[in-house]
Amino acid sequence: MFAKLKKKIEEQDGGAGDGNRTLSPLKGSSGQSPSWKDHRGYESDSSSSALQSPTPFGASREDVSLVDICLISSSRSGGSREEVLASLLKRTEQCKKFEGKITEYAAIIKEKNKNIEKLESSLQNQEAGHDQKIRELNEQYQMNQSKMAEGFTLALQKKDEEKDDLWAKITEYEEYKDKLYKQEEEKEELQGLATQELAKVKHLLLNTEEELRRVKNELKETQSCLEVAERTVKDLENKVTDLEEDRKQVTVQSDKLTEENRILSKMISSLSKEKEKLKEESDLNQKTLNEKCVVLSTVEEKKIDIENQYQTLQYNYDTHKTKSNKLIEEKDEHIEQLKERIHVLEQRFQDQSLSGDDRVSALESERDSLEKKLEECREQLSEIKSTWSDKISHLEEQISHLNAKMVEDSDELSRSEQNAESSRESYQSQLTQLQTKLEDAEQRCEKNWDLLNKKEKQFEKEKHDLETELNKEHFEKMDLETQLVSKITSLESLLLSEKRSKENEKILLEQKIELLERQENDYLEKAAKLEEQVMQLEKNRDVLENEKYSLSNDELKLKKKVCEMENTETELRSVISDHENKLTQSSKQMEELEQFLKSKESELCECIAEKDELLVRNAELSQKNLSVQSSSDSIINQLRSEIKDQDDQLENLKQSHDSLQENVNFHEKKIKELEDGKEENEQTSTQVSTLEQTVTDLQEQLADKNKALKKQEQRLRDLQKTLQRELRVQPLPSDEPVVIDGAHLLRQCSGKLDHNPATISHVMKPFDTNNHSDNTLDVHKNRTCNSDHLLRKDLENDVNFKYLKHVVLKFMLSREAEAVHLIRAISVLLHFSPDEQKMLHDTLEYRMSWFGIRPALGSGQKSKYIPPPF
Amino acid sequence: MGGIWSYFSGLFGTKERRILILGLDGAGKTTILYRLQVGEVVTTIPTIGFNVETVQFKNLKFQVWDLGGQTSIRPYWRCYYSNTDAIIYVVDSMDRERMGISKQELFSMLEEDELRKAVLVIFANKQDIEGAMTPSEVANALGLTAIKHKYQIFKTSAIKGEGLNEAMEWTANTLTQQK
Repeated sequence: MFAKLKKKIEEQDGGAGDGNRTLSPLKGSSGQSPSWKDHRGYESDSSSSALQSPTPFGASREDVSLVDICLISSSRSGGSREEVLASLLKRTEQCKKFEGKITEYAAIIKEKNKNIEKLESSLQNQEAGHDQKIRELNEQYQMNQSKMAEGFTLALQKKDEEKDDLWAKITEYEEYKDKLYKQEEEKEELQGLATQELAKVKHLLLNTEEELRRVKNELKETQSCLEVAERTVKDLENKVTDLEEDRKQVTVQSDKLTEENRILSKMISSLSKEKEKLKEESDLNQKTLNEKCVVLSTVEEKKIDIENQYQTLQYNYDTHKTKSNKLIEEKDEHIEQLKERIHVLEQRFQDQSLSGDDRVSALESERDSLEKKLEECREQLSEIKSTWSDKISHLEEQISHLNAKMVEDSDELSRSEQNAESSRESYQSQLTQLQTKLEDAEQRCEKNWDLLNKKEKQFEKEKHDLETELNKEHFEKMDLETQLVSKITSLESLLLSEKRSKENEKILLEQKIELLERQENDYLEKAAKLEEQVMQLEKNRDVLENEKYSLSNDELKLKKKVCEMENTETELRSVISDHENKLTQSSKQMEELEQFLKSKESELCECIAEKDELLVRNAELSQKNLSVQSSSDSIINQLRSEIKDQDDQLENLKQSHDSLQENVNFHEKKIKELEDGKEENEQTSTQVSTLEQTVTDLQEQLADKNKALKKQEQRLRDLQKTLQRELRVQPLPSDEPVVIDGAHLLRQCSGKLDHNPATISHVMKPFDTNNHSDNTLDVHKNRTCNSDHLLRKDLENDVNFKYLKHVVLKFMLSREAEAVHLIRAISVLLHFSPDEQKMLHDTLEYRMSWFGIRPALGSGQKSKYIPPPF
Repeated sequence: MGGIWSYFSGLFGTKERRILILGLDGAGKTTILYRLQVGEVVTTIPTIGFNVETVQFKNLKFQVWDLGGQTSIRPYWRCYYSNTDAIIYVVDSMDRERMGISKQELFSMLEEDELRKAVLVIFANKQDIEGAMTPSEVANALGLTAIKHKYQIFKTSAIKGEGLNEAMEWTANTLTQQK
């Protein structure tokens, strides 16, 4: 049993070892380093917490446990076999339990494998179904595509053919259209030419008509000019009559003017007389003025001299007066002084007679009096001075007054002179004004004289003219008289001849008296009658003579009129000649215009001829046009018919196009349907892809599960290993390894200044091993305390915790001199306050120093250190 | 006893110079420390904490502190800066990806006021591996031109022990010149 078990375990171990080797080829490669053990230890440290790896025991530990087992087996073989057997039985039971568990696990694995297979088969089935579906859909799609493509290609070919036909037709139509357009253009050109020519002819006609109108207007204007000239002639004649009337008026006016002249001449003469008088008066005035001026000046000079003399005399008088006064005063004063002196001398003389004291007193009194006099004199002098000064001031004032008066006098003088001068000037100005007035009057007189002379001359001229006219009229009268006398003489001669004839007749009558008594009577009667007639004739002659006078007057008048008329006639003739000239000119112009008209007419004729020609041409052209139009109409008709045909064809084509479009729509619908099918296909394909994704997900899940299975297998193996080890370790008591470890720790601590880095790990390891030993001993406890354990593991895995641990250990284990450097690190790690930091520093310093004083670290509950026992 | 020993050592021996070996994790700081101390290559584990060794070099005693370089314990470096004479900053010449982080750490370290007078020695380590960055490349990557400190870069191989002596000689010279 035992051997079998052992073999089994060995086999399993070997299998596990093989598995281990196969599982960690990387570890094997890394494990080539010289310190394989240490490395493994490190790996165990760095491995995850989830896996409770058995590696921490290490090879050395394994060896130790094996040795222990051997020892136990050897030492306790003879002891209690039953106990051993019982334990073995227990172990076998445990083994069985574990085997059962393993079988369970295997069953689970099998089930899972089955599940996996099932899933795979279902997946395969699904994949196959999907593949089939996809293939079918693809085939359908391809079929549809091919069908559609064929249909479309056929339709396209048909449409292309139709298109080509239509294009050919369209090109033909375009050619026809081009021809039509060309013909129409030609037609239009011809029409345009005709219209242009017509327009030209019309334009020429209009021009000629306008010219005709112009000529007519000019003719009218010339006629109007002629009429105007005639009117002017009439007007001139009227004017002549008016002028005659005017002349009469002028003669009347001239009479009036002569009268006025006379009056004016009288006036002038009177004015000239007045002027002479005024002149004389002015001369007299001037003379008197001059004389007065001279007198005034002399008088003024005399007056000034007299005044000067008066002033000098007054001044001399004043000076003499003052001098005399002064002299009198001086004399008076001198007399008074002399009197005083006499008085003084008398007193002195009287005093000399007196004795000594009296004399002295007298002298004193004299002196006093003299002093008084002196003072008086001084006062008088001062008074005199003051009076003199007053006087001087008075005099000065007077002088100033006099000066002022002088100035005033001089001003007054100058004023009076100015007044005199102004009066003179005014007189002179008056004189000049008078002179100018005189001159003006003279000028007026001269003008009047001139006017008079002129008027007289005019009158004389007019008189001369009138006299000459009168003479002429007289001469004419004389001539007329002589003529009349000659006529009278002729008449008298006739009378005489008649008388002779009468006498002859008388003789004849006397001869025939008897015969002719009756006749005589008759003749007498006749004679009486004749006498009466003579009388009547004489009367008539008187009347005639009167009439002759009147006629002569009339003749004169008429002659005058005639003369004037002749003049006017001449003027009118000149005017007429001018008008004639104008007329001639106008006639020339007329002729020219006529010529021009003729030329124009000829041009008109030509134009008309041209117009006729053009009309003819027009007609021809219109005929041509008509013919062309007819031809073009025919062509157009033909073309229209063709167009109609083409339209019909087009309609047919449109119909065909519509049908084709319908076809196309139908096909498009089909395409849409197919596209819908496509979309469906796409949807199915997306479904397929999602299914594929699910498949891949399932595969991934499968892989994950496989991995988990592998991990579980590994764990199982690890568990097996641990079981094996525990089976080996089991007989040992739980405390022993701890004791050994503790000894190990102590050993390591004793060799503290060993600077091998391995120490660090060694320092940390014992705790781990301890924990592990606890783990192995109390599995149930371990389970209950699993959460705490995990927490601690986390803490231990935390780098900061590891660091803190490391630093604190180093701090605790190193000397004070080195530990000082770590104060800061520890305080940062443990969040010491500056006070705490300082306390640490001080205590370290105290320990380092020889004679230091322990720093105050508090006492009682707040003390930071453990107080020493004494 | 320790106090007495230190006192005597202070009296008779020359004063110890304090050197910090810093750098990212896995740069080879601990290997360098023990290479300097023992002269052999020692298998190491990641340092969670620190290692302190006294190294004698040409009558000069260096107290060399090797501080762990893992990301979470890098902030504790600054607890050791006071009274530091020199800093050995070790850079993994093969680790091109973390050169930026290395540069960041170096510059944040040099900003500290306590390291104002410290001499900076940079070890471009792991030069024995093929394809490693040259010292000039490392210097460029770290942006050493912007540094105001007195510094020198050395190419080293802790495994083969190359370049370590030269670097230590330079640091010893500079430190003796300073005092």
